Amino acid sequence: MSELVGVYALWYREVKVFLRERSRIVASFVNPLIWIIAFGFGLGASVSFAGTRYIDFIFPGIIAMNVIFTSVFFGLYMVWDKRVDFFKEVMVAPLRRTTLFVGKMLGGCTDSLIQAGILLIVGPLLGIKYTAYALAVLLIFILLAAAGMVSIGLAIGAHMTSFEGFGLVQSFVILPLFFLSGALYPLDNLPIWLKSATYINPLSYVVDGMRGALLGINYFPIALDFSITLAFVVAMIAAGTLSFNKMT
Amino acid sequence: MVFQEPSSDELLTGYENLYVHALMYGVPKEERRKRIEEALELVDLKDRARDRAKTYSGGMRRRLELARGLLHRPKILLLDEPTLGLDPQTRERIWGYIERLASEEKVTILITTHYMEEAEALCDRVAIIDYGKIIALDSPGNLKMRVGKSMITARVREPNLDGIRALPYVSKVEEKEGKVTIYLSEAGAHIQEVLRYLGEATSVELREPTLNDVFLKLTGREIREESPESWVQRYSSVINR
Repeated sequence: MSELVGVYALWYREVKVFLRERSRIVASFVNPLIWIIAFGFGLGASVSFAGTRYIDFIFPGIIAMNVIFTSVFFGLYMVWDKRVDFFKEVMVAPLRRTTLFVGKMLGGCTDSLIQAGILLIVGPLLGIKYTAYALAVLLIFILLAAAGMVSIGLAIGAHMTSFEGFGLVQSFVILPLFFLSGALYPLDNLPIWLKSATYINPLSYVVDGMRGALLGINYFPIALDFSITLAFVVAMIAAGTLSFNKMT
Repeated sequence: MVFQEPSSDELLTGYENLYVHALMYGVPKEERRKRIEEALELVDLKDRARDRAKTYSGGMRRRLELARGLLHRPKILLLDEPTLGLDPQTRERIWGYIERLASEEKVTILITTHYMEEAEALCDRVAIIDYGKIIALDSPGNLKMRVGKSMITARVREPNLDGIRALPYVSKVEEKEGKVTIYLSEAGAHIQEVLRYLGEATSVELREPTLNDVFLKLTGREIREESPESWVQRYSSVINR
């Protein structure tokens, strides 16, 4: 019971802070909106895949992008908590490290979900239509992807002591995950080396699952998308929990 | 536990800081609000409770953290250098709050500090730690007895040195260029008598030993090359109620 209240305490803090930082919320959906509009209408003027508008094609990809960026950076920002010594108070609290991790992770998921929600609301204004089924599948994949990505961020953040590593994480984790996921292009005709990279990228399955629900074009079976995403989330939560338990 | 560095969450308000703490430490739901308000009242932060901790001064953050440390009614409160880097007014106030905590909340407080006057003002028992070991542990009064001597320094035109030396409680007398220094036990009790014997003084200075003298005597005067170590290993002192 007290551990559950502890999870709530950590979650409460994250959500309070998030809702208070309005500039972060605005930035978080303006950025992907620019992507959708510039790529969707710009590139979409001369490109289309599988008989869909390009803007429809990349919409799930851009949502995934938004989830990766905000979630991983949310996790990394715990370096800031450690820096301002606020985290000390949390660390000495009579709570399990796993509880701290879960609370923070759920806080990050909530943030990501709110931001993705804003994009989902804006979607119809850009001519994107979804059925109730598509919306449900999208939300499930968004939530899973957020949980996995926040966990990666927290696992890395737990080991970091300064902000210097942020650029490295961006170059070696975030950008490869995004660009090699099929968010911007279909996986069909890729050269074999690129195709292999997308196959081992868990985000490919997230994007594929969302696109399948939205447009009915699946590259992998939806069951495979879901299972691999779930396995990825479980593995990342385990890695994050382990990092928190080892953190000093 | 109250840390040396400010450890309140600057993005939350004072009230929210305490609320999160109450949740983490399992304060029962019915009592949370009441205890938070009491704690804020105790450190005079009630009217700033709705402001973000970011807008607080260093002393206010300290007070907020003191209040936070009390929320879950601990039996022992650890304060790591509670007044480090604060101005004298704020330090006095913090001392006032600490004394209030000890007397009103009946909580045992363990303080680490580098300020000897702080230990002297607040603590019932003081431990001096040198190179990680406790080398003395006693009440401030008893510790000062170890240094023993009070000092009276006086400027006297024709000092009666022999008369002074004959007094039973005087242990040593020095004279230099018309300035007489008398070492004795408990100067306060004997100052009248000493001055009567001494002759006509133009200035008198009385100095009682302080914890600072005790500290220097016990640990020597050379500067310590300290490696970063855990706070418990530093000088610590205890208030016990």
